Amino acid sequence: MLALRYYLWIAPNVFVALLLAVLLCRKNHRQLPWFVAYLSFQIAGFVASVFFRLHHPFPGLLYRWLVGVFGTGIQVFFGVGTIYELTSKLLPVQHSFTYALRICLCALAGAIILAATVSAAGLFYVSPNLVTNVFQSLDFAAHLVIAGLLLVVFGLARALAVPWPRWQTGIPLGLGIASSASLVGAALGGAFGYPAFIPVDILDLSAFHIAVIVWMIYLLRKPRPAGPVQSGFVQADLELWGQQLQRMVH
Amino acid sequence: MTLAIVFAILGVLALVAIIYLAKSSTRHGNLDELAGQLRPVDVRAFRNLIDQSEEHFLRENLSFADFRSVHRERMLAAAEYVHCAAKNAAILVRLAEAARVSPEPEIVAAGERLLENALRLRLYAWQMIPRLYVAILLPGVVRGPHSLPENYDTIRRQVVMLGLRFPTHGMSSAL
Repeated sequence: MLALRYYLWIAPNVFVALLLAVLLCRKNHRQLPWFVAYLSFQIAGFVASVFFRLHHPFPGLLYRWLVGVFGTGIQVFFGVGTIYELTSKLLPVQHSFTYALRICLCALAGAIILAATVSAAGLFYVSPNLVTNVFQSLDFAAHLVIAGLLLVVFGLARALAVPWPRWQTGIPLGLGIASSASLVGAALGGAFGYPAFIPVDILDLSAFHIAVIVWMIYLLRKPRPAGPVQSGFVQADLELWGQQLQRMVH
Repeated sequence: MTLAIVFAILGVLALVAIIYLAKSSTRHGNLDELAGQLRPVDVRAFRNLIDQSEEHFLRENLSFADFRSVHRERMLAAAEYVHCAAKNAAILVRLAEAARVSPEPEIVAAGERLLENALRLRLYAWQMIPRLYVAILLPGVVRGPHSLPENYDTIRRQVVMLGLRFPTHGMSSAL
């Protein structure tokens, strides 16, 4: 079990580092600055936690505050930034109706954050330790916000019938898998308390591992040549255009 | 405890929904197949259905019961037209996406314009369909936006113009 936890802690971060290196080599950071920042912060958090563990095998309060609470907070910040980045690509048209939609999205995001805060505050008293309770509440609220926003954005894309580029779909999918599984884990942690912490930790790490694999599958494969396969025009098309133009003129 | 388990179940449902929606958002489809799914929309007939003066004329010349029945049929038909227009716009979004990756800047610009109008039409349709259903119960209420037929005509013209430089797979004639 310990070996599995070490594997799940180290392997996804190694894959994230590889993914980050490839994205930077391909200069994808210009297209996806928030996602690249999210991955960079993931690596920074991992390095910081390794450093703390090596120097303090039994982590103290400072470690828990820095890596647990602030780390989660900053990661959510970059996660929400990534979703915003993808949404702005989804609605490329700069007009009043996209402006109105963005306002609706912001209002929905605000409602989700409010709901997450209220539910997290009411749910968690898992330990007499303040830091543990704060971390659990923040973790739950963070994943609820990200999963909720992703559902809204995917719903919007479906309603408007806007297809995402294939390689970019992996980003929200990976984020969605990680945050929904962590939401389940955080809720179960809240329900069963301390005894559930290790299974919940394994669930979180496994979900993140799957998310990283999804990102790698989508982002590292070669993009297919886009556009229509057919080229040139056929006689039937020209006749149809002629009819159409005549209908418009008369 | 119960609330936490409810949230855990919601988390599982969110996971399933996200995977399903992500899978469906990448289903681009073949343009030939999509062209076959287009349904023609008679814009003149649609204009007639939502015309306020036409409604006024019917109200003046029919008994109340007959007017209600005819009005209901007219509004349902108009809603069906809007459904078709919105569905066609969703297909044209795919065509516009294909045009936007063309190496020719004019085709890219035409694709951008088509995408903009197709998205706008879908938003108009969202606004219009509930209003048409309300109008069945309350004849005479404002049924806007009335720009939907104009918007659909513009899209049709844009597809025809795009078809002069880019293969539209017979979509211009199917609209």
